[in-house]
Order: sequence, then structure tokens, then C-alpha cells
Amino acid sequence: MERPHSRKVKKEEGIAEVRKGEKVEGTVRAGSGEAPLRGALQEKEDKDKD
Amino acid sequence: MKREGRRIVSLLTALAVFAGTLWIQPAEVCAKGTDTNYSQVNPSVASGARKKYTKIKGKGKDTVTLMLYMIGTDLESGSGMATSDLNEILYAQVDNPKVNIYVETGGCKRWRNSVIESGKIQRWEITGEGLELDETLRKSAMTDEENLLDFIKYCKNKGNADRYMLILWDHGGGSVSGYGYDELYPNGSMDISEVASALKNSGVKFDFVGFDACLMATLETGIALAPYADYLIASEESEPGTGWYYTNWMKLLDQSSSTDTLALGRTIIDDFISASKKTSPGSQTTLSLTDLGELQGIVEKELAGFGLALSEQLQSKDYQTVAEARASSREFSPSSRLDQVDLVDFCLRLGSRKGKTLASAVQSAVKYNRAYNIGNAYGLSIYFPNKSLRSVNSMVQIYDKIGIDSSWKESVRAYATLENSGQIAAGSSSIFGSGSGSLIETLLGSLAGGSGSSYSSYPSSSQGSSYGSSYGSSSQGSPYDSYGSMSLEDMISFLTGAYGYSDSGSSWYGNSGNSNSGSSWFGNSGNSNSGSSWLGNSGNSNSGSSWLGNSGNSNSGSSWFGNSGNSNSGSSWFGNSGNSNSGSSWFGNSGYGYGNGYDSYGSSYGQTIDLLESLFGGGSGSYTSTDGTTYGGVDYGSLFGGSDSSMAGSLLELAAQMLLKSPVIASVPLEIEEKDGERVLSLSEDMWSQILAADLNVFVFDGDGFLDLGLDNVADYNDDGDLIVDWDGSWLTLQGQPVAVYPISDEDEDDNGLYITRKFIPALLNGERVNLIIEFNEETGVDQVLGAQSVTPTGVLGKGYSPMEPGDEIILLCDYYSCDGTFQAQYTLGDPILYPEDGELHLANMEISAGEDSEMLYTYRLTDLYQASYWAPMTWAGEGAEPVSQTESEEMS
Repeated sequence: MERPHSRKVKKEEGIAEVRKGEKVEGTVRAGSGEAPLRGALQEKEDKDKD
Repeated sequence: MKREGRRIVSLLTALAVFAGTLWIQPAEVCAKGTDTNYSQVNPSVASGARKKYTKIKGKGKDTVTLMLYMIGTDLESGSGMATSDLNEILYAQVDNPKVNIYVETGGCKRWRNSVIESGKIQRWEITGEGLELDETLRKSAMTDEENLLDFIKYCKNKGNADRYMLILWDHGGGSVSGYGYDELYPNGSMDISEVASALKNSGVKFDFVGFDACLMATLETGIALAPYADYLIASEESEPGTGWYYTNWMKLLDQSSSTDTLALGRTIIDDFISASKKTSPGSQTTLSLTDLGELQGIVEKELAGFGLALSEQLQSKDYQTVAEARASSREFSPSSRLDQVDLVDFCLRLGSRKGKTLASAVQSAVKYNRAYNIGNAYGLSIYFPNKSLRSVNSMVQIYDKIGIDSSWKESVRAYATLENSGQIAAGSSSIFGSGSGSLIETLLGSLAGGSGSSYSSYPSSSQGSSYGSSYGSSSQGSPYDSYGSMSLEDMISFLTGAYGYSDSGSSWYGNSGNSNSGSSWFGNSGNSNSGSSWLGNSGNSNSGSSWLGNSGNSNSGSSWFGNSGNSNSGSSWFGNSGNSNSGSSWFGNSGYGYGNGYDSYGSSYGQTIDLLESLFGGGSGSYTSTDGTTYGGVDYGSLFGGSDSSMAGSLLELAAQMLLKSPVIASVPLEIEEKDGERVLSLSEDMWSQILAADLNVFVFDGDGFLDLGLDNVADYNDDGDLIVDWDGSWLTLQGQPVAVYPISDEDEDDNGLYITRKFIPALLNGERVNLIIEFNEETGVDQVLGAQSVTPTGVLGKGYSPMEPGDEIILLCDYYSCDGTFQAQYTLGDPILYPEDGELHLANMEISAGEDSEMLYTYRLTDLYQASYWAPMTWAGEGAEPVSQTESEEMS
């Protein structure tokens, strides 16, 4: 029963807050988050119609 | 001739300190995975090797002409790397009259010394006294092969030599992208066939050709250059910006112009590794010396046998073995998605007899090899598609130019076809079966670059929805715009090669009217018998097809993103197919047609072929499968870029059989279910066997849009092997601050279950866009930041990883999306971090919070053997942990 490798996490105490800062112009994006976001939005739309 | 010796002395003085810090002593090199470091040079020459061109007389009687072709580019204008290397040469003070060193400089906006003129091409001779300017040339692109040819001829005309050596200095992009980037002429590089052409036309046979550039130690480079050179010195991996260290081997040459090439090569390699270890300790560095006589005489023949065996393996429906071997093989510069893997590692992981034979031949041909911070790097890489299919066609063209064995070419093409078929079916089979998926989305997404994501995500997240509503709405607006230019570019790149565009009556950006087999891109193809049009109209054709346009009045017209009216067997994607006899419409309306496409399709062999046809087809021709069934509508010969339609047809049939044997993951719904009090994603073992990676994907919704925190391979499984979809709220932090993080590689180099995982964190380093490269090492237990890799505005990654210094300012970045999922911009994240005095940037997972008025969402991305990606339904973090569509999530709309 093989599963994809999951990295071993070293977890520490404390809470780190995600804080959005300033817009940065002209930088190269890092990822491609449209896929899951649009998928979720589409799913929501479909559910709403149902 | 203008003498610049005096001025160069000042250059030497100014830079001596820099050179002095790199005075090299051979250092111990650690490597992970299989240690491929040679303790000594292998001086033997295998039977069957081509005889060397260069005969060394010995006893210092040889005359040497060393040619250094130096395209300074941003390496010089930004960091003075070329000046540094020139200084290293000057530092050797070569005054042996039998050693002549010529340099061509250029391709740089700003030279960081007072001698070399910026914006010009200049030729120099280096003597014991310094750098002497010989001539200044008119401006031209140094990536033009004619320029390289002219430089070689110039050096040759200085006088005959017993030994010719050529070093190509600049960026390198491997077999796919070639050598060189000219800052003054930024369009294009010199592909390896052009480098070979310059060497061929010069008439010079070289003792060695070296690439002081990234990623050029490839089998393809070796094959291209083998007719013109005895040895290749190059790196499989990216080189740190400092590149080679020149002083010591120049001194060897100065001491004796007859110094053996193997000895010179060893010094070059040892010094490079040692210097890189000092200047860029986090970088993975490699450099090898390959006997091109052996490569030409032996390795090429073994490659042919390996290619045949690989094709047979694929034809026996063993795609999975090949895909797993490919995925686990040592890959170089994985974030660049060049798809270059170590050839020996790949062969050994495949485990076939022919693979082992080829591996043995390659290991014999590589006479010396060193690797630092990297295992399973045996000295030569090879292109083998996996993460991206966009380069397949350009590589096939390069194969033809350099004369690589056709069986290897066909095996690469076959693998790419099967992989792409799997990606296509990943979207399609859900249309047949479970009710999710999109063929075109998969095509666009799977061929896209980006960071490993694709639009085949839609299937998993739109499960259960009706076709009419989901795809109807998807077709609104400008569908192709939403996929981004890279996707369309990749698609066109792949399909143009697949179709071939040398047929008569084809038109790019124009009209192809009144032709028998006319095709038009971005234009009209009217009145043709089998006309096809991209981004335009295909009217009045017998079997016309139109992409992104209209296909009216055709007998068997099909239209993508447009209308297909009045056709007998018209089909329309994203549009209307009106008044047709057997019209089908995807994502839109099919008025007055006799059948709706998706209803009539089932998950069967013939229909899978139909599916592949429908994607690739639109041309003419037919194919009869082994069971006697004839499938029409596809010009298989042109599809595969050749004329062997039976071979191509066999591949399609094979793809269909393979996909039906092992259904792709999209054929089942990705549904979260409750099991023993846990929310889990349950798949069959067959499905899990196809999944290579599972990554947690977290977003923060701030009321206006989504912050993307990226992807981390953190997943838990229950005793049944189900993925537990229950995020504990912890995420990676750097110095206690949450980061966005993305995968680069995840390797079990020793096959001992202990992985080395590399990821990157987008950031600004002192205001410059970089990726912080981080490593989680299960062998050592150390998690660390290896360095910073520069990222140009066009997305090109810099050479190696630059170390950071105390006081450097790091500003974390993350991508931000609007409420409709459209990328907006990057935003800073948290507070600036100052690189600490002790040099230890701390990585750890911590619980994260979204702050007031914000919420967090998460999902899991699954990546399969075909490099298609799927996302589980998105879930709001926190209370209830219900999938997003089942919560009160009005904020999202």
C-alpha cells in the first residue's frame, strides 16, 4: 500500500499570523492557483443552482 | 593593434583580491544518493571508440590555441562574473610562447572593468603581460552561429596549432534551449545543432570543447559535437555564477603545452567543484569530462538499442514502469522544467538489459566526474519529457539536425504521445463516466508551464454538476484568454509540430483559400476540401474545422470555441452547432442535432480512440485498428509529424488500450467522505499506484480575494490508505512567519525511504526577486535555506544559489487572486526579515491564523503518472470543515 511521500514536519508551538502586505509590481508569480480556486467557485455555482 | 597591457595590469591588481579568495585546494566533496564522484581519471579507451583527432606530441612541443567565447550578458553586467574569470586567467600569467589564448567578449550592456567596452564585440589576446585588444567588431548577436564561426576562423588564422580548445562562456539551457543569451540581442540562443554547425564549418577539430555554462553536459550535446571534438567538459546541473576557476589549469598549460587533456580536465573539474563549494555552498554542482570518441563510436549505437527496447516496452503497455523510472530519475534544474535527467540513472532505474548496457557505455565514456550536494549524477543527462510536453517537437527537430538515432527519437515521441493521451483522457474520461472533466481544459492545462498545476483541476472540483450548467458557463467570455498565453502557446507548439506545417496550402497568420488541404492559422481557410483554421474561419469546406472561429457550411465541420452551422456532421466546442445532422456540442448548445456528444459517448475502446481523434483530428484520413474497426477523421501521419500513419495509428490504439487497462484518476469522483470519524479521500489501489505526489494547498480569503500559500507535500493516511482531509492548521514558517512555498523536487536518492525535498519560497532579497531555495533532508535531519536563486522579470532563473549575508533584507511574497480566481499580483507577506548574523534561517511548521475578517481554505493536489493534476474539493478550515460548496460561503461570490 504505497502512498506518495509526505515530508516529515517539524512542528513548533505558537501561532503565526498570515498578514497581507503591499502590492508588489512587476514581479514574477510563483504558482498557479487559478485551478483549485476556479474549480471551487464552479462547484459552488453548480451547487447553488441545484 | 591597440595594446592594453598596462591597463590590464591595473585590472589584475584591482581584482587580485577576488581571485586570491578562490585559490583552490582540492576539497572533500560530499554527495547524496549514489556517489558519482570519481577518485581518479579513467584513462582507458574502450574498444570501438573513434580515434582521437588531436595527437599530443608531448614534451612541451605542442602548440595550443585556446579560444574563449565569452558572452558576458547579465552575469557580467550584474555581478562581474566574466571579469572575474578573465582575472583568473590573467592571474595565471601564461607566457608560454606555445600557448595562445584568444578571447571574444560581447553580449553585455555593462562590463564591470575599465578595459572592455560595453555594448561591443571585441577580440583579445591574453599574454603573460595582460589582455591585448586586437580588434573591435560591428555589433551583432553573439548567439548567432556565424559569429561563433567567425571567431573560430579568426583564431585559426592566427596560426596552426597542434591542439585547439574552445570554451563557450555564458548561460546554458541544455539540449532544449541551447547555449547563450546575449543581453544586447535578447531574442534566442544558439541551439546545439547551430553550435555544431559552426564547428563543422570552421574545419577545426578540437581537443576539447568546454561549456562554462549551465546544463550543457547532455548526450545530445555530445552527439552534436562528437564529429568535431575529442572531449566535452560541461555540467549536467546549473553552474553557480562564478563558473569555472581558471588559474590552476592555465598554469598547468603554461608549464607544459603538452599537458594531457585528461589532466587538464581533472583540474578544471576539481577546481570548479571546490570554488563552487566556497562561493555557493548550497548549490548542487556537477562537472564532467566525456570522451566524445567513445560516445560517437559506442554510446550512440547503444542508444539505438535502448531506444528500440524502450519503444517495445511502451508498446507492451508498460507506460507505468517507464513513467515511474523517469519520475524518480535524477533531474536537473527541475524548476526550469527542461526535462533533463541523468542518463545512467534513468537507464538503471528502468532496469532493462539494454538500459544497463547503455549505462555501462556512458560510464565508460565519462572519464572524470564530480558532483557536490547531488547524487545519481553520472556525467551526462538526456532530454526525456515528463513535466512539460512543450519542447517535444523542437527536440525532435534538433534530433534530426544532429543526426540522433531514429529509434531514440521514436521512443521519445511515443512516450510523449502516451503521456499526453493520458492527460487528455484525464479530462475526457470523466465526461464519459463520472461527470467531471474537460478535454480542452486538460489539454491547455497539461501543456502549460507554470508550477505544476493544470486545469485538469476542474474535474475534481466540479464533480456531480450537470454538464449543461458547468460547461455552458465555462464557455462564456473568452475561454482561451483565461488560460493564459503560455497555455495556448504550449498547445500551439505541441500541435503545430504534431500536425507538421510543411504541407501544401498552409498559411500562418494569413489566408489559405481554395486549397485542397489548406490550413490556416490565425486566418481564414475558405473553400477548401479539408481546410482547417485556427483562430479564424473555415467556410465552405468539406471537412473543415475551425478553432476559435466559425466553420460554416461544411460537410464534416467542427468548430472549437465557435459556431459550426449547417454542417452534416458538425461538432462545436464551446459554441453552437446548429442545424447539423449528427451535430454534437461540447459546453454549449447543439440545436437541431440528432445527438448530443456526451450522451453518445461511453467508456469503451473505440470511443476512446474517437476521443483522441476528436482532439488531434479535424484533418483527413482514416485508421483501421487491429480489430478491423476503421476510425476516420484523423491524419495520423501528420499528427505525429511523419508519414508513417500505421505507426501513429498504432500509438493511438496503444494509448486507448493503455488508458482502458488502467483508468486515469479522473474517471472516478474525488469525493470526501466520512470514515471512522475522519474526513477522507478514498481511492482504489490501482488509482493510488498512478499518483506520484499529494500536496496540501492552502489559501487565505481576506474578503476581497485569496492569498495563495502554495503547496507542501504534507499528507496523512489512515490504516486503509485513505488520504485524511483534515488539516491541522499548521503551515511552514520562516523565522516564525508564514511563507508561500512551492515544490521543486522530492527524491529518495538512495532508495532507502529517506527523502531530500527541495522547495522554493518567493521573496525579495534586497529588493530583487528571488526564490529562496529550501531543503528538508531526512537523511541528515536538517532543514535549511540553501540560498537565493534570482528570478528575472521574464521568469528566467539565475545560475546557482547565491549565499546571503548578515543584514540582507528578505521580504516574503505570495500570489494573490481575485474572488473569481484571477491572478492579480504578488503581495508582500508579513514583516521584512533580516538575514541573521549566525546565518541560520529557521524553518518550522507552526499553527497559522488568518487574522480578522479572513478565513483559510485548503485542498489537496494529486499529481499522476501523466503529470496531470487533480484537486480534492476545497474545504474551509475550522468549524465543520465542510467542503466549500456546502458551507455558507457567500463571501466567495
